[in-house]
Amino acid sequence: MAGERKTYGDEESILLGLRERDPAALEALYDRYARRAFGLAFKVLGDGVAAEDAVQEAFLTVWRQAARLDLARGRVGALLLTVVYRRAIDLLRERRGQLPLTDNTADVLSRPGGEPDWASLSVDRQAVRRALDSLPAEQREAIEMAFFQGLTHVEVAEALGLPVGTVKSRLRLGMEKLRSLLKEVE
Amino acid sequence: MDCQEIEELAGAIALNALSPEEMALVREHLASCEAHPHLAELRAAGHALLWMAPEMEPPPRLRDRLLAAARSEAPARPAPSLPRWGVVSWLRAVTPYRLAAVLAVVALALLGWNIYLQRSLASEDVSVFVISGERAHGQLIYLSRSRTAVMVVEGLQPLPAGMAYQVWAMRDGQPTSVGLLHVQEPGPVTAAMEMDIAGVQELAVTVEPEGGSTSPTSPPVLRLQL
Repeated sequence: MAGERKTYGDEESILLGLRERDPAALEALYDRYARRAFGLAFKVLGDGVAAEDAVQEAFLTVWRQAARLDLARGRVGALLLTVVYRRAIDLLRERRGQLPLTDNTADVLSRPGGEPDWASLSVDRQAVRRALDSLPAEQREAIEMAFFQGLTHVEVAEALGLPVGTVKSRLRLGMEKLRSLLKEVE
Repeated sequence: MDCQEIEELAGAIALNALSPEEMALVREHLASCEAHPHLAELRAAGHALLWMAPEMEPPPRLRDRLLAAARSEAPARPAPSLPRWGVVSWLRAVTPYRLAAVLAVVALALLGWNIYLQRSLASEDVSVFVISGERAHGQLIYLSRSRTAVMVVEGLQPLPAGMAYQVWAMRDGQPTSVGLLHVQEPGPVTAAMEMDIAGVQELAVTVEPEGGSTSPTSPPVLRLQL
């Protein structure tokens, strides 16, 4: 006989379960995304204990806010990873005695329907990896330092001992190339 | 900042690799300039990097710890008539920074959430109110389109067991409960709530029995004119 415990086979039912505050739905979400979330937090923080904290907080944030989420299928993972990422970068910058970075261009950048959905699961991760690997090494280095080390372009320039203008253009050329490679995949 | 400077910074903008001061200048420019539509695509390419870290198996204790924490929060809240305050939990550890920085992060983290909820915040209107009292001070950030208020208050003392802070919206002298504010330790408290401030002249915070009262039973410890 089946017990009362619900099973959650897909993301849509997980979301519904989260809204009903069923811990089994959180469990299913965790089993689906924990390895990716932990991998991201560890990559940013380089420290398993801090990474655990960032991951736990991200899942709890989604758990607490689930009633307010109206996410399209395939976006829960992107949201989770975004929360893990921000938390991890905040911790990293705090540890280094730097002010937190703010992310306030999102609203002015988003035009309804205008933004491709490359953060969602529909993107072939291997394709993104290949795209990144195909960038000139100095562009990839600048992008990875900014993204995974949470550095501003000026901080990247300081770390590499390069003029700010050089780093600015490496980031710009690299991101433009990445975008066009992702467009091809799409 | 002019169009050329924005274009030069395009990669840094996509990666959020800007100081808060630069970000403010970028934002100011983009709010009134339609000439940079491809920045949204660059930004999306930046988001794709989230998937680039290799997967890693977390220790089993993390699963247990998370589920235990979630289960302890699972039951319905004790006072269903009161809207629930959602603590913006990942911001708690930001406290070493200046209050202003905390405020910015709070507001923008919320905006970040709303991107995912609504995809466009172009028409979002952000108001900031200063909260000041004898014992506590802070700010209230109100997003009118989302009808969401974020409150950051410093100086509210933790209350004895069985007591809680309750927030009231005053309309023509009539109080309506907005929610409860749980202060577990001294220091800034950040809370978010859904509310509509239309017609509200003042917010007040009183000390009430845990679970809240139907109307204030003590003088306000904090008042905020809207």
